[in-house]
Amino acid sequence: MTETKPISNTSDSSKNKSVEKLDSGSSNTTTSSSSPNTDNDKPKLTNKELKELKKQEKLAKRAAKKENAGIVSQITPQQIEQNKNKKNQQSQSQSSLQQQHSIVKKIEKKNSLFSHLETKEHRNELSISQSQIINQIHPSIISLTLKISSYSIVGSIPRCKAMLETFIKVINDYKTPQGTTLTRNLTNYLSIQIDYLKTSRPLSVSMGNAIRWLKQQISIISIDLNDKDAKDELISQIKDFIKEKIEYSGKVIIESTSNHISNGSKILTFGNSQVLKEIFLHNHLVLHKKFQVIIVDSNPLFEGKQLAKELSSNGLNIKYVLINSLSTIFQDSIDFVFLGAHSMLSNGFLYSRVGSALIAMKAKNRNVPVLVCCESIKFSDKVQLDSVTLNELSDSNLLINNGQKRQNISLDKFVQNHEIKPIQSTKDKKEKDDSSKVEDLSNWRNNQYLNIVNVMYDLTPPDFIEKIITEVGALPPSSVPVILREYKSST
Amino acid sequence: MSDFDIKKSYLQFLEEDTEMTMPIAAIESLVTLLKIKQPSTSTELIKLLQDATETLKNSIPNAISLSAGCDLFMRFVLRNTHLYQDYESCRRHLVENGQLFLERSKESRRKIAETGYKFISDDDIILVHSFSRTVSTLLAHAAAKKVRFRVIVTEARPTLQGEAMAKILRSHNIPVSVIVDSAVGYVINKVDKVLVGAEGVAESGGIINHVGSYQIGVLAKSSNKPLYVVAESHKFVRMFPLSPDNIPTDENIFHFSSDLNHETKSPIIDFTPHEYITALITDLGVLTPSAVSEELIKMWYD
Repeated sequence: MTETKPISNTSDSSKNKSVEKLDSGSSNTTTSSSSPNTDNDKPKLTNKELKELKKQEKLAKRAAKKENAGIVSQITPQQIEQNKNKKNQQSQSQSSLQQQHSIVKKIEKKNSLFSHLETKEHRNELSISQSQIINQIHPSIISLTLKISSYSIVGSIPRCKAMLETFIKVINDYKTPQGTTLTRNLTNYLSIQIDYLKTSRPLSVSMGNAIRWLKQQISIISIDLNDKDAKDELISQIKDFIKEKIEYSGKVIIESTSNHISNGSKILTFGNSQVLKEIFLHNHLVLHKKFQVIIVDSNPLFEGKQLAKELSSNGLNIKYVLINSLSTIFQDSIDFVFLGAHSMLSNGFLYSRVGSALIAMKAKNRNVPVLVCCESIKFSDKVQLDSVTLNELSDSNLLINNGQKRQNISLDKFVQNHEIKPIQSTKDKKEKDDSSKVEDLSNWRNNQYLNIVNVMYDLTPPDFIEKIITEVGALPPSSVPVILREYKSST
Repeated sequence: MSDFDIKKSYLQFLEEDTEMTMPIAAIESLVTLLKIKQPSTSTELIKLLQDATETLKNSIPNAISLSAGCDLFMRFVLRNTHLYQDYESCRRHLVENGQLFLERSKESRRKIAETGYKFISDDDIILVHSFSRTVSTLLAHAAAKKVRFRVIVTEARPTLQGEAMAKILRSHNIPVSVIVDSAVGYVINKVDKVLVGAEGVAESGGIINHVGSYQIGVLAKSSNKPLYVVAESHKFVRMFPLSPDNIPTDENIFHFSSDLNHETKSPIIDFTPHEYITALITDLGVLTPSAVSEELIKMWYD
């Protein structure tokens, strides 16, 4: 737990400048890694940021008017985030647990369960601090960083694939400087790119594995090889890697998972997993099986919408529900629960989109087998026992903006007409909203009692998982280390 | 398959040697097929084996442990064909090694008895389900080592193989009591250990065995009695049932009928998930259920 200043003063100030100042003082205490850089750049940045801020406030107003725009429109609010809410570092600090128990008493915004995690604002700060080296960053990396940070590329495998494809471009344009060799310099060069990429979101396990592999490949390239040949070799290796570890693995998984789907099956899935989507489409379009897919979705990314849209447009029978109705939907006789994975940890825990654990637990409770489809590139040798130690915090505003958007639709009008305030608060997934209006939540940073935490992942214990399907076979969660051993020896 | 009937030879092997298990008989008939057919290219050889395996699997009901043998041999063939430059030596090698394979497999039961008898101590009451050669070998070995123990054998409906088991054990001077399957819950409190064989060991470490094994597993677990599976490693199959009834058999288990004289029908095998199994006593040593998938992955991805 990091020690932070009490922020009772800042909470009153609506002017961003003062927030900024106070923040620069307290950022020393909250962060260790990034603060030296940011402190040096502070005066410059503040001006720049203020300008940007005004611009983005305008944008935000515009965005707020848009009623039903999907994830895409959330980009703008996110960017606003960049500057406005450094204070968030402290205010995020309330744990969700505390909120759940609705004991949001007078707790200063410190000592949080999640305060050790890097926040979105944090990462934005980092990316700004790296702006001096931006000329070293390959344009395609910048574009990828933007795409990832705006969630237009989501999912472990799509991100990994996009990254590798970008690396192909980067390597293609790379020239070894005088007086050094490709083997030595390219690794460094890539590291800079990767550091920048990290400012979008933390790397996924699959990306980490791919990077480790790539660096290994670079290091064993012969020094005598000229630049062009070396680059060609690397590029073809990356292409093979994508084919072997991502595309073919997916195919094998699809093949072996298809055995589980038969006519009349009812399958429940959560969010939007790339490989699961392909499995469903394959069984529907190629194998012509008749089955129903229940897609459970959740705030704030609503990835399931995309899946529901794609599957239903192909004629598949879809039921789309939100995670709130989980216990109701399990009244149905569901045959299997299929889950995607962000990563499989070596103690058999599944690290996946937040909500997966809930579903797996419910499925276990109803005696429905939970199957995880996961490429072996997602296997991690890490051991993690809870989802607090390592996790990813996303933009807290995403939770609010969904509320804002909904506020414009009929339900909100209804609420306004009838002046029933409490409904609004449940709508925003907040227990404590006092009697304030929904709009006021966007001011949550000024309220020291209100903490909004947007956690991205959770951990599902192996007891809830029946089977993991990988391209090297199906196995119980207890056998994950085996795959790791075999996989490591093969690459 | 005009001049050689794989099914016939398979059944013949089983009949001639009562000590032979199904996967071994399958391997032996495949080796015999290779000897007779003399395929001239490796593609032909693989095709031949694939066809024969397919025929065999389709013609025999309850083909689970049989397919373990076929798959194992197939894997062995695929791994070895590319090692040889000329095809003829490869084929010879296969036939020779196939033979070796058989001998080793037969040997494995003795090895299991050697490692397994230490699990049985004086004054034990051991519950045994149905008939199993590996279990009877192990118990006989323990009796020969002067361990004094008693055995409860289940009758094992619908095949009633428990009677055969009791007979074998009694012939080794082991005191045996035969109970009906439904009495397992009654005796489980008095039992110290449960031993079962297996027709196939799944990737999860769960076992496919004579019907009734699952309920014994559940009872054993609920009263904290260790359940040991005694099985040779060639019974490891690459399959992963999710529930006790999730076994690929084409027969329909349920025969609902309001006919008063409708005969009782029952499945013959069931699947016991790995959480009910304490350990597997195999020729590779004593394994935990999760070590099975390790062995299988090693076998298939070397």
